[in-house]
Amino acid sequence: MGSETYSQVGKAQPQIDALAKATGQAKYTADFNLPRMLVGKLLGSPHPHARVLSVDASKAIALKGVKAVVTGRDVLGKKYGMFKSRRDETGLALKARYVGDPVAAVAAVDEETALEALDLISIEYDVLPAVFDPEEAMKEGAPQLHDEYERNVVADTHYDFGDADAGFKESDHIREDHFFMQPNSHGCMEPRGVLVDYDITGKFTMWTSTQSPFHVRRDTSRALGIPLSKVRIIKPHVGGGFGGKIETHPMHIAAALLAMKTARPVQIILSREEEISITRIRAAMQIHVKTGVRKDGAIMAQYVKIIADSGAYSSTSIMMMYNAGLSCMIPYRIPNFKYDGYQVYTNKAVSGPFRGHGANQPRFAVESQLDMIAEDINMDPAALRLRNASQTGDTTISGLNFVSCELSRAIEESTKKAEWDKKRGRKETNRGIGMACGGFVCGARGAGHTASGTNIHVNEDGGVTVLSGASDIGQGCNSMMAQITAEELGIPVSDVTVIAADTETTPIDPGTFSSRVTFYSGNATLIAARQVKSQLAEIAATLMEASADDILFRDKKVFVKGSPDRFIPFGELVKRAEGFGHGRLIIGQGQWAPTNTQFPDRKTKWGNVSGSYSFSTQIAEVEVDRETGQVKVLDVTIGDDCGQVINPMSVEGQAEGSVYMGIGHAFLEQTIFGDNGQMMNPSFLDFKMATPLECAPATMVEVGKPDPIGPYGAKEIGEGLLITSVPAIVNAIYDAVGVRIKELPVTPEKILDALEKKETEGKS
Amino acid sequence: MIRLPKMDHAAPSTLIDACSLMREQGEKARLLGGGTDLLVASKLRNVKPSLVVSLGGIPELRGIRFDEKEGLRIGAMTTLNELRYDPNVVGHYPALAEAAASVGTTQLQYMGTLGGNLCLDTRCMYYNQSEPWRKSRAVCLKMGGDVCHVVPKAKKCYAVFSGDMAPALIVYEAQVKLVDSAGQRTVNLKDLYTGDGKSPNQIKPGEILSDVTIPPPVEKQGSTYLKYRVRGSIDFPLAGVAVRVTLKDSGICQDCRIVLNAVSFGPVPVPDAENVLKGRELKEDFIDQAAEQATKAAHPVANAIGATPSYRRKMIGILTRRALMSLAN
Amino acid sequence: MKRELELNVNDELWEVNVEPHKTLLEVLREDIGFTGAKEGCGLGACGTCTVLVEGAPLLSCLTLALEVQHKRITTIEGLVEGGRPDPVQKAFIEHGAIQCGFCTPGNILSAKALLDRNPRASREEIEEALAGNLCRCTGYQKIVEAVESLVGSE
Repeated sequence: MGSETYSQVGKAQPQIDALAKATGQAKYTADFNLPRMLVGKLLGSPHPHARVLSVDASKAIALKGVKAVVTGRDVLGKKYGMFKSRRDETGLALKARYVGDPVAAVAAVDEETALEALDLISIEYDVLPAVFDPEEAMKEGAPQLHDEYERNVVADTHYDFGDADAGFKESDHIREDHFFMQPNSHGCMEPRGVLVDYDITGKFTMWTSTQSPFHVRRDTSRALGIPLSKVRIIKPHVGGGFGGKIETHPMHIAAALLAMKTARPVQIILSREEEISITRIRAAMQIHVKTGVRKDGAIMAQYVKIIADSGAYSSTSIMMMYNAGLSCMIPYRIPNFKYDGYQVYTNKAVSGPFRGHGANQPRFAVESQLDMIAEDINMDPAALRLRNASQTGDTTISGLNFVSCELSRAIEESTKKAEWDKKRGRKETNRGIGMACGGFVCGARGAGHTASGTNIHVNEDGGVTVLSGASDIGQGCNSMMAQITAEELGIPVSDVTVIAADTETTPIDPGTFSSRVTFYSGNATLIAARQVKSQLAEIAATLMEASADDILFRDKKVFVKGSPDRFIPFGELVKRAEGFGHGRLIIGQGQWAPTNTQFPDRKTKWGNVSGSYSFSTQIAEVEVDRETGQVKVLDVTIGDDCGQVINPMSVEGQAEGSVYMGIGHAFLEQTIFGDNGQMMNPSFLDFKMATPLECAPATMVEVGKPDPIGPYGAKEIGEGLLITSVPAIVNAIYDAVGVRIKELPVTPEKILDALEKKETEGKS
Repeated sequence: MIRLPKMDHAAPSTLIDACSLMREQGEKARLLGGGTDLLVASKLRNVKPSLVVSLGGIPELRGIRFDEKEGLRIGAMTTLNELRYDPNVVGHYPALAEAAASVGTTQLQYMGTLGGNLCLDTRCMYYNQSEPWRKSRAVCLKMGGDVCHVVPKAKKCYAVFSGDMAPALIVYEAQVKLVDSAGQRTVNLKDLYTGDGKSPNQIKPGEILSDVTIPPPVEKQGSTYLKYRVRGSIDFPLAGVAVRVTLKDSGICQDCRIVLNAVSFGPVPVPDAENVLKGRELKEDFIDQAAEQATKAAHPVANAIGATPSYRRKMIGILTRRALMSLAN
Repeated sequence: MKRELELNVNDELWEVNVEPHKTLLEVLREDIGFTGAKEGCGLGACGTCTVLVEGAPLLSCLTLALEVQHKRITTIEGLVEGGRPDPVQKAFIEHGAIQCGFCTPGNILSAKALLDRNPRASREEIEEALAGNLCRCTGYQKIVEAVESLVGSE
C-alpha cells in the first residue's frame, strides 16, 4: 500500500488534531458559550399521533428566568428536508407523529429553569389513531401520517433490469428467503447540539454538531423563510456522526427561533435520551430475496423486495430505497435484476441515513442467502462468490461502471489469510467461519450540488492553510487533506492548517456522507495543491533559471530536478513570490466531481452514480456456546479494495470500527419500541453498544490497487466494510452449529431455539 | 446536561449524627453512599429527595476487618473495588470478590458501596426512565400509581432486584446491622428483602445499614458467583447465582447454599436445590437436579431490556449448574 | 442555597460558589471551565465524564461536587505537565486510538488510573478496566494497543 515515491501518502500518521483531542482542548458544540447565552430545551409530544390544538405557555413565561417559548406556529417558512421531493418537516410539529416529536421549545437563563418551564407548558392535543407496523400502515384505511402520501408509502422504488423471469427460467436452482434487520441507533458519543447567535442585522451564526453545515444552512433558511446569506453555520469538532448528523434537526430551527425572539444567544444540547430517540435511526427492513443460479454457481437472476420502516418522517427515504436496490448489484455480476422497494411512514422514531445507508439490510439478506445456495448446490461459499465476483471494467445491468475492482483478489487473499479451507466445517468444535462480500459507492451523484472544493493559501513563512467545506466528524478527513497538501508541496503535515467547515469562509460542500469525502474533497485538495505548486514552480523556475517542469518540491525545499544543491527553501520561495513581478498571492483553488457519472434515469434508474466503487470481503470466525446460545467473535479478516491507502492508520481505524459496529449490529444493538410506539431503550444502559470485552481483533490483507479516479488512487472504506460485517458473522454461526438466524439481532435465545428446532427435526 | 433536582446536602461525621438527621428529616431525606443508584434515580426524577445525607465522612462505616474466629466485618461504605481486591475477601470469601468484580464498570466499582448495593432499588424498564418519558404512560405502581405495565392486572410492583452483593453474602449467612437514633438491630441479610418490588427492603426511614458481618469461613468450603448480562460490563444482571458448598472429608456435601439474583423482588434462596445436594456427592446428576430446582424457583418477568424471561430462567439453570460444577472440580 | 467550596483540580485550588446538588461534571465544565470531561449520557453508563479523584477513575456526572472537597481531582487537562502531554496521551495519539475524540479524555484517564495501580496490566485487564468507557469509532483495538504499549515500559 505504501509507496517509495510518496513522502506522505501511504504513511501512517495520527490525526492532525489528535493532540487537541487527547488533552481535552478540542472544542465540541457543548463546550462553547457566549455572553448572555440562554439554554434551550425541546418539548416532545407524549402521544404517538396527535394534533396540537392549543398551547398555553403563560405559566412557563411567568416563571422567573424564562425568556421565550416557541411552537410550530412560530415556524413561518417552508417545510424542509434533504430531498426536494420529500420535504415533510417543519422543526416544531403542529401534528406530532411519534412520541417525542418536538412540538415546542423554551429558552431560559439556565437549563434547570428551562426544564421547569417545560413542565409548565400546557398543550391541548387531539389524539389520533396511530400505526406502528409498516405493513399495517400500507393497508387501506390505516391512519395516515402525511396527507401527501397515500397508504403512507413515502418511497416507492422499482427497478427491472434485464429479464428476471427469463433468468429464473434459465436457473437450475432457485431460493426464496425472508430476512429482517432491526432498527438501530447511531450512538454517536457526542449528543448533538447547537449554539445560535442572532445579531441586529438579522443574521444567524450557528455552531453545531453536523456532518453537513451546508444542508443545515439550506434547511434553516427554508424553515425560517430567510435568505441563505442570513445563516452561517460553523462546524466545530464533532463527536461522531455515522450518518445520523447529516440532516437538520428540530433543535436547529427551535434554537434559531428562540434566539431571534430573545435577541440572545441560545444553546440546545440534546440529552442522550433525545439523541437516541428523537434524531434518526437505521430503518428496520423486511427483505425478501429470490435468487436463481446455474449448477456452476452463476447467478442468473435476483429479485429483491424491501419494506422499510420510515418512522414519522421521510428523511432520505428515496435515496435509501434507491441505494438498497442498487447496492445489490455491486459485488456480483447479476444479469437480470428486479427490485421493489417501499418505505412506509409509521408513528415511530425517524429512520434516516446510517453508515451504509440502505445497503446493510439487503447485504445481510443476500449474503446469508448466498451461503444457503452454496450449500444447496454443494459449492464452497467462497468459490460461489468468486464465480460471480464483479471485475474491473464491468458495467452492471443497471449502468454502474467499475473502473477498478479487486474483489476476486480480496476473496482469494482473505480466505488464504483466514485459513478458510482448514477452518470450515468443523462443527464438532462449535467454531465456525463465514464470509461476506460487498461493494459501495465513493460518493453517490446528487441531483443538485454535488461537487467539493478546496482553497489553499500559502503564508509567507511557508505555512499552508487549507479551507474546505468537508466535515471532519472524527473520521479524519482534515488529516487526509493535510496529508495530500503536504505530499504535493513537499512540506510536513504539521505545516498545514485545515479550516473546515464554515459556510461563510470555506467552499460549499454537500457534506460527509455517501463515503464521498476522500474521493471528492481529496481530489479537490489535490487540484488546489497542484495549482499552488505550479504557481510556485513557475517563480522558482525563473529564480533558478530552470524549466518549471523540472522543479521538485521535497523536504521543505524547492529543487531543480537532478541538482540537489540547487534549491530554495519553501518558505523563502513563498516570500519571494509575494514580491515577484508586480506582486503575487499564492492561492490554489480546486473543485472536483467525477466526470464519469451519469445521473440515474428518473424512470428506469439506469445510470452510474459514482465515479468508482469500493469492494470488500470480510471473514469472521466465531465460537458458539451450544448450552447458552452465546456467541463470541474470535477473529475477523478483511480484504478491502479501497484503492491506494492514503493513511493506513485511518484505514485500519475505519476497518476496526466497522468490525466493532458489525458485532454490535449482529448481536447487541437495537432500538426497541413499546406498544405506543415509544422507544423503550433510549439510554446507553439499554441501547447496548459493545465494550472492548465483546470486540474481536481485525486483520487486514492488502488487496487494493490505485484507482484511476480517486486521489492518488484512493477509494472509500468508511461504509462499505460495515455492510459485510453482519452477514460474515451470521454465516460463521451457521458454519459453527448449523443454525441460520434470519432475523436480527442474533440473540442467544434465537440460537437455542433454532438448535432445538433442528434437533427435533433431525429426530423426526 | 442532565440535572439533579434541587436538594440540600449534609455530611455528618458520626453515625449518630447521621441517624438523628435522618429521623428529623423523615422520608424527604435520602442516604448518599457512592451515588451510583440514588443520583441516577434523582436525575430521572424517580425520587426527589430534598436532602441527601452523605455517609462518606463517617469513619466507622468504612473498612474491612477479618478475624479467623470472628469472621468478616465490612463497613457499609466500603467500596466494591476495595472488596474486590481485599486479600481476606479474595482468600476466604471468593464469591464476594467475584460479585464485586462483576458490578457495573470499573468506575462504578470505585464509587459504589457495599451498603448501596445491598439497598439497591429494584429496576424496571418502565420505571427507570426519565420523567418526560414516563408521561406517555399511566403512572405505575412503583411511581405511586395503580397500574403495572409489565404484569397487567398486578396488584404489586414487579420491579426486579439486581444487586449482585446480596446473593453472594447470603450464601455466607451474612447479617446486617441497622442503626437508628433509638438503637440498633441485626437482621439476617436474607430476611432484609420484603418481596415487594415497590419497597424492596425492610429498612425503615431513619435507619442506616451500617455494616455487614459474616461468620468465619469453614474448612473445605467453596463458593462462587456467576451472572448473566448482555455485555461484559455496564449492564445490570439478567440472571445471577451465588453458591457455597462445604464438603466433608469424604467428599460428601455437608452443607450448601444457593441464592438466585435478578429474577425476583429480592435475592431468592433455593432450599429445594440445596436439599438435593446435602448429604450427597457433588456429582453431575445431582447437580443437574439442583439446577432444575433453581430453574423452578426463578420467575422473572418482562421488566428488563436484554433477554426474555424464559431465557433468563434458562440461564439460572445453566449458571447454577456451572457454578456447582466449578466447585465440584 | 449556594455553598462555597474549594476544589483541588489539577493541583490548583478553585473556589466556587455552587448549589449542593451540582455534580462535579457541572462544576468542572460550567464553573471552572475544564470542558475536557464530557457528558455522553449523564447517567453513568458511558464513561465520557471520567475524572481521577485521588487517582481513582470516577464518574463526575454521578459525583456531587460537595463530596470531593479536599480531594485531589485530575481532569484530562491536568495530565499535561509543562506543556508536555502525559505518556498515556502520547500513546493514544501515536497508536491512532483517537478518532472523533469525544470519549478520549475518559478513556485516557481510565487507562492512566489502571497503569498507575497496575503497571503490568495484561491485555485482559486492560480491556476490563476500559470496559466502562464506550467508544463508537475505533472498535477499541487501537485504544487497547496504546495502553498495552505502556505496560512495563517504566
